[in-house]
Amino acid sequence: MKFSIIKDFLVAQYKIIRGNRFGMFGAVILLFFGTIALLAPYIAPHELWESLRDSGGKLAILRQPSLEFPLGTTAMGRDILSQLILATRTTVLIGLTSGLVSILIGANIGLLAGYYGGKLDEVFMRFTDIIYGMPFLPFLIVLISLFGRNIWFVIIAICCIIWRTSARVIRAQVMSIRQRQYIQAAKARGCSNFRIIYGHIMPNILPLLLLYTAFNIAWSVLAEAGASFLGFSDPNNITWGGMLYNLWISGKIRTAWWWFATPSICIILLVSALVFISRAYEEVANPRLKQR
Amino acid sequence: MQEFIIRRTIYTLFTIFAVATILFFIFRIMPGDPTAQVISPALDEASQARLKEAFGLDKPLYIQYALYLKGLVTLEWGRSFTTSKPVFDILKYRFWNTVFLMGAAMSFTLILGTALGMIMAWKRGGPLDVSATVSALVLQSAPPFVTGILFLMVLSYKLDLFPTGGMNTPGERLPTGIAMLFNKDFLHHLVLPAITTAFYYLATPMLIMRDSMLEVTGSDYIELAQAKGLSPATVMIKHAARNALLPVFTVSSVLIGFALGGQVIVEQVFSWPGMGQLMVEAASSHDYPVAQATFLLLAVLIVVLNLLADISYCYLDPRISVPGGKK
Amino acid sequence: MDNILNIKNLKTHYSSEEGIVKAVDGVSFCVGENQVFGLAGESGCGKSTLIRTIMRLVPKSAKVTADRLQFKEYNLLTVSDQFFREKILWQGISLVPQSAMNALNPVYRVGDQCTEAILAHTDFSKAEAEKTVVKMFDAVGLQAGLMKAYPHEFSGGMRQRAMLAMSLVLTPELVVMDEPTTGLDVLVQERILRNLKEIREKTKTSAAILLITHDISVIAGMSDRIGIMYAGKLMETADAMDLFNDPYHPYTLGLKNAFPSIKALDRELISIPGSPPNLTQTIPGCLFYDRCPFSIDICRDKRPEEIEVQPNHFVQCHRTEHVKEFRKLAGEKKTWQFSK
Repeated sequence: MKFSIIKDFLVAQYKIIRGNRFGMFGAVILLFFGTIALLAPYIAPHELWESLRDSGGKLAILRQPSLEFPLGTTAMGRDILSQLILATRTTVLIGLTSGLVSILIGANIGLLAGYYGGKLDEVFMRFTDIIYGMPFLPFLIVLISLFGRNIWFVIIAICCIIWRTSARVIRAQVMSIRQRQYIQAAKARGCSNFRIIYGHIMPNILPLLLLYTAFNIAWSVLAEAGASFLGFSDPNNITWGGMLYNLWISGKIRTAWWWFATPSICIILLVSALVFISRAYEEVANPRLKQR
Repeated sequence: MQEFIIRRTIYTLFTIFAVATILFFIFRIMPGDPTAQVISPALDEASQARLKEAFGLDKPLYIQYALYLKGLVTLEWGRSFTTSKPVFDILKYRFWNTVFLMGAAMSFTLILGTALGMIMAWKRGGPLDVSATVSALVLQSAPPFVTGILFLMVLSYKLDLFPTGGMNTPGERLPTGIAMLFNKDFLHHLVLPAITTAFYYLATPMLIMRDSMLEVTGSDYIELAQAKGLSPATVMIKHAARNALLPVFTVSSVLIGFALGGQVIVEQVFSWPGMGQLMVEAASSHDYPVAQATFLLLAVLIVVLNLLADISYCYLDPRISVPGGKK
Repeated sequence: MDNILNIKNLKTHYSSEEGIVKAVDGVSFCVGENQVFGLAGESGCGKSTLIRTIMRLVPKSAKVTADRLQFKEYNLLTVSDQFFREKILWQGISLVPQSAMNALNPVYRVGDQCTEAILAHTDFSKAEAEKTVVKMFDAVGLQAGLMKAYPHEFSGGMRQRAMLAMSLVLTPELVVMDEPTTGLDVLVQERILRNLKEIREKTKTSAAILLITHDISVIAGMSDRIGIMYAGKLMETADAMDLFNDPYHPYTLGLKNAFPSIKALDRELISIPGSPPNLTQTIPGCLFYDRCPFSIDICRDKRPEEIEVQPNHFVQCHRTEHVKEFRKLAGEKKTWQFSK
């Protein structure tokens, strides 16, 4: 029984994305990056930190894109294409993990606060207000500064903060749904609160949930990129943001346009893919926005 | 409504207090010597011991907490590890630089965003609508350092139209106080970082205004305004936009909060001497007193701005500021 | 009596995904100076579209055609948008909209919204405009102080009266009232209608009124002349007394049955079975064919022409010669219990 529910769900999502130009574009890009992330170690032509020499034997420093080095090399003679491919895996992993954990936190807080109301709601909302008061990147920076540059602290820091927006929005939606008749009917039937929240309310806010899942992942990717660019990332696990940090501190920003272009384009593509998909869900959740 | 204002203010104070407390504990649970948070490990043993006593670090935690809170309120924020200057003095200067940059960026984003959103809704489905939506979404997907560096590369390095960073040309002094805001050199340096920030956040007020306008223009009072023979511009601006602005206003308070956090990046790219850049410097060099105070100041700024925005919203919407129900 | 509004063969067609919706399909009638013309019909019959067509409030995508659409000496089909807006709207024709609940802008004071109309069309000063509004408020029974209030501070009845005042500030020659009593409770309804008569006398506004509603009792109490609208067409048009004493069209006969009368307390309520036709279909015959208990083959195949059965009394029906018989049968419940 459970399997058919999952199958119906996936088919429904496919239909939503398929019917929307934005969504299609986003899905294709996500698929592309997902594949690269999976296959990364097998398709990267060179090692991450390998300083390469060109055919003439010289150290290949700051080479422009060529046949030998399709995306050029860095100031330390490393192949940008390989770095990009390997960094894809880390970037996608951090984004996915942080994004999914934060939507889990945010959705549950929103569902519980919105459904129960009263004291529980007050407590949750005050807590959310406090998190809203914390500037995001500075928090990340402080945490990394105190605990060290490790990929897990980045993830933890992101998860501590990003959930706040989805919590508020989902709570608002739940509050308007819980008054509706079918919820009252379920209560009258004796359904447990747990069942009502997760069995009745949650399926009804699914488009909103998926919308914010996409957003959360997008924000996580942007946050990680920002933190990495400032130098607060794991030096052993490079991400696209980290590549740009290396570029920035090398001082070669004026000349090495190829080094700047490729990680930037990747970040923009990935995030906009997620944003476009969430826009597709927004049109489902709010049909008035459909362009007719 | 009075009650609402008082309640909100109390919540704000509570939030500030909570953030300060969280900060206190974060800095205590870091690995290593907790006293390194306050006393630079670079000092010799004897000095460290003396400072330990002076700061009360040998006392139990709750007394340290009390001293911490007292210090915050009395503006005794400690001294920088790296420069030994009082933290308060450092921040006093940097605070305004960030505020000015933020002010310029946010004004630009809100004004341009709402204007564009209004026009997009008016010409719904047209080329402006579609292209502006896509551009704004893409701009929102580019981290501010990408757009910032792009601007630098094109407008600064290549075309030499704008300076490459800083708040003023080296060697030239800027007037202090309000006069600085009108100084040409300052403004020239302000442009690129301000529009970088503005473009990043542009999508939000723009799309919200657009959606809000679309909803408002279906209303009965808009039809009546048209029936009254008012010009289309009057109907759109005076009647529709005035109502459509309300949701934009609600979101702008949150937006400012996000923007303040993101200032870190823009200030770094453009070497703008504000709190963001200070934050990065302090965190990289483990200058904890400075990092802690900057973080807290940013948090207070966000929370206070939110409070002001919420209060002014009440005055914008007569349904809230004027109790109804005359019979 | 001169005609303020002269309409001949007005059509408003919308294109939609299902085809062309003929919301108004060949309507002709006249409204005289100082006359109250009541337009009755069920929801969806096109009366709202009709008045919006007259006031140019329909979307630009709607196709409007007519042999004549004349207001005083102006040809409403050909005047420019700007002229229409500046000279005709509100000064010549004003509107009292349906749900006064939402027709007032929530963020501006009620008085300001009224003076706005005056200031847009005349060169009165603000003070003069306010004085005029105060006078109107007084005429509808609202205190002058309420001008400074916001819409949400008003009750439903008060809002309706404010709308009424607003519609009269420029002493228009024609006031269009869209369902003026819908959403109000019966007592307030009655008060508003009584007020309307008093207001017309007190302010000596010789405004003609075009009143649209689905409530026949409202029409009965107010109108000098009545038009019965169905599926985008006028089925019957006559002076009020003529319509009630000598109704001709089967639809009119059916409508008379559907409303309780205090005079015939024991009469059963009889409703007309079925529902109006789909306006995108092309129907060759009479649009009332499906629901008419007296229809015959010719009714299905040929569209009835409009005929003048009595002086100034127009009907669109093939079988007007049997009307005496129909009037008797229509009073019996079993006439209406059929299915086609």
